[in-house]
Amino acid sequence: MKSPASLMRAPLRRNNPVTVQVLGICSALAVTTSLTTALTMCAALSVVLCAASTIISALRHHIPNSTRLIIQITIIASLVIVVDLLLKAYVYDISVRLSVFVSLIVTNCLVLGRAEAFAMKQPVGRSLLDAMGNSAGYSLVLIIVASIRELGGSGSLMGYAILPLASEGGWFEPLSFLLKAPSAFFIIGLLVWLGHRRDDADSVELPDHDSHLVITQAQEGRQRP
Amino acid sequence: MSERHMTDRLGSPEHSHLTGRPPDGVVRNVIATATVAGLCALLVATAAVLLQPRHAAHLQAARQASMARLIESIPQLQSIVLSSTADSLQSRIVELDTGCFVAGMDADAFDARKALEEPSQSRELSAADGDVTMMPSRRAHFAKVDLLYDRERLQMAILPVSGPGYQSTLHAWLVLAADLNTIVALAISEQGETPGIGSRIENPQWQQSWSGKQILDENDQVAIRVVRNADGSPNQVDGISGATRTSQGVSNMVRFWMSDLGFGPLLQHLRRGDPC
Repeated sequence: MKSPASLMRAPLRRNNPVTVQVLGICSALAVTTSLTTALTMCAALSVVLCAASTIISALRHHIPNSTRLIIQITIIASLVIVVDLLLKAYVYDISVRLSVFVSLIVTNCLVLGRAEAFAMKQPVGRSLLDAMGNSAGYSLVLIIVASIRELGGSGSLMGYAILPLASEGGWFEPLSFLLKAPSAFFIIGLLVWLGHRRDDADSVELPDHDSHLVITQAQEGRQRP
Repeated sequence: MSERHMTDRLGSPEHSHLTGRPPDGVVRNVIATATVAGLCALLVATAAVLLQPRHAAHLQAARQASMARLIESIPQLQSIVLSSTADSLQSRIVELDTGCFVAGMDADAFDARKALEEPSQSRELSAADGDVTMMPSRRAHFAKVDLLYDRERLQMAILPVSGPGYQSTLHAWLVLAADLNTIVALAISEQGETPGIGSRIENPQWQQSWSGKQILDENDQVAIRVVRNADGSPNQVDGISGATRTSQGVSNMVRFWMSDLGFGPLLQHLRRGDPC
């Protein structure tokens, strides 16, 4: 069984939900044109993931097996609606820019994946740690992608000008390609590649069995000699 | 993964591979599921009710901001909009042929000039449509209209109109009152007519002379027109002497957009009170 520290650490890189498990890609593409929206999305997803994992873990002995997915989705969807309502109430401008993507956290495989693969089988504390680790892993990727896209695409970070734009008398010609969705595919693709290169260089440590869904089971088949 | 492997790994298939518990009874399932669903509904409903005042305030602010943007984009209308009791503005996209509002098109993103150049979004008007000398050469399929409401009641409609003048394309805003027959204002927003002659259509006094005029005659036909020496009838606007062609251009433009080829179908729907 994994140590609490590795529960938090593994999803950052070795088992990153976005670059390794390729979950939650939709929002990673859609909200990363600016760092502000990406950070808001990260916060929204983290709250939903941590709350969902905690609640589902606490209820795991009472959730009937045959309807467990329905119950998990009901809990996740309710949390997402509440988070969406909170964003609309307190940061209206950002919620307008995020449009439907906060609501779409319901269908983010990352949240359901952690609920089904981890929280249903593990005590509350460990489930919360796992959720925090995965939130951090997801946020890390979103922040990297959003920083590259906003800096390269508009010469700013969180709306503050960093690189003086040519149109305003500076030298920087923004790469408008970075603001289009395909550029996020390329950036995430590069991150996946970098992650694999590092993995190959390190001594391969087998992912532990208790915390992974089908995807890691497939990897396990590949990595075993 | 093979069936056998699955069984080896997960234990007996009758037992949940997740919890090792036996399958649950129907009653227990229903009670547990219904309880979770009920609690979730309560959570969502509570949040929605508690946050409702804040949401309403934001929506109101967003409406006011869009009204401010409209006023900014049409300076001539500033006093009219500000003096009205309208408290909200709706920008809607209209399909001109049917006069129906189009849901799902972003009114803020709609670019009327671009639509006019795009073959898929506009069409050429031909002799089959009427006298081509009195019409624009092309017309878009859709138009963006701004409707001002005073507590859900339509108060004013702001319609974009355009058409050929003497040597340029004229663009204007036609503001109609709640009856959608009385003109509140005609505001020329863009023209390139002969300076000092045709350009006098921008003269505030002349634009003022449109105010209070009626589009329709007693037989509900479009009767508004610019004439020389108007006799004071509600359908007649006095032309500008020396700028006959430009005056005629404005006249044709308003008549075209009030006809069935322009906003006619929309106005009929709105007058009957059954917008679609």
